[in-house]
Amino acid sequence: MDESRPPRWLKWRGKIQALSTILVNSYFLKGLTGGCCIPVLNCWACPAAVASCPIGALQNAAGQARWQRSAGGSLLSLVPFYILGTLVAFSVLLGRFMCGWLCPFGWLQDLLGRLSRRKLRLPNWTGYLRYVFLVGLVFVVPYLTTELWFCKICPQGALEGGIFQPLVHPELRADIGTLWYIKQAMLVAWLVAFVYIRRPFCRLMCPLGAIFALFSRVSVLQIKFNPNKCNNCGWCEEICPAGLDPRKQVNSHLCISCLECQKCPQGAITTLPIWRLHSDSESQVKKGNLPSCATRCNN
Amino acid sequence: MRGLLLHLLRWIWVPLLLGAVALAIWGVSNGQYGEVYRWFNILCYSCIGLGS
Repeated sequence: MDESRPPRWLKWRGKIQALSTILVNSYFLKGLTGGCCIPVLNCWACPAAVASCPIGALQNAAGQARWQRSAGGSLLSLVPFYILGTLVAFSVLLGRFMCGWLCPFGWLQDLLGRLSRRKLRLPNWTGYLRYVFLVGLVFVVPYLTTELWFCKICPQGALEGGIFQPLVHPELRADIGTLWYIKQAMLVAWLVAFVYIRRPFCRLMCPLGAIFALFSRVSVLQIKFNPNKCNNCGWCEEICPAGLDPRKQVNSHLCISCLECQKCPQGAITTLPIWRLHSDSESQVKKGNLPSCATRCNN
Repeated sequence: MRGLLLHLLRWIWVPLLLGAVALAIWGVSNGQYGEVYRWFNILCYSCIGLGS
């Protein structure tokens, strides 16, 4: 296989993102799949949504846990094992592949990001803010208040639920108040940010991406950078939708596993299963490409 | 020691995956899927931004 040529299926990423967006909002499966937690950020208040937003479900579970605890429920019954187990399973298998290939909101960010080549770079520490949203607004505050506080500020909800629900159900328009206008204003701000910052919502706020990032370092899907093939052209840094430098930040918790960097003209970046990530030198020794001492080298 | 850590890193996904799937199944068997389905069918005012 010619490693300098990227796999052909990489060029399908945009189409797969579009297809995923359509599938999770295809309406007709609602009755069958409503209880499924899909591993992408798609608001379940969207009139056409076919499955549950895992973040909304986690908040509901946290709020319900408060009532159950007050009523003397056991500690085990408070933990949303179904939702967490589903998300962890996806993350362990695919890392953040869902973020880069399936998430409708990620697709929107990628689309709007094409409108401007000028990009503002955010410092790396900003990537830890989403863990604050995850712990605070998805677990702690909903547990304390029994209200879905992340949903109140979620721009995906403002877009899919806040715009389309009142369109489809005019009777809801009478309930539009201050919160709706605040959410729409925040949505507009995010849409502008999408043009000038690479995947800002994923970096700053997305609690689902934060959950996936916890396990992406040990997931089956891994990305490998080979410095021996790199000529430091900087092409990968230029095209990375997450605003990373793959030469330094490969498999970073901020990486969305879009695999765009795998289109590297030098073939320096490849995708490997994790069991090959550190044992590539062993296979090269067996093929005769490296001396036997290579397996003992620190690489 | 380094070899052991690398070996662990290479294969830790197996117990993590099995554990996650087991927890998800356990949660479904305890009615958590039904709870999610129930929440799905309740119109989420917070998501839409209605009310206060």
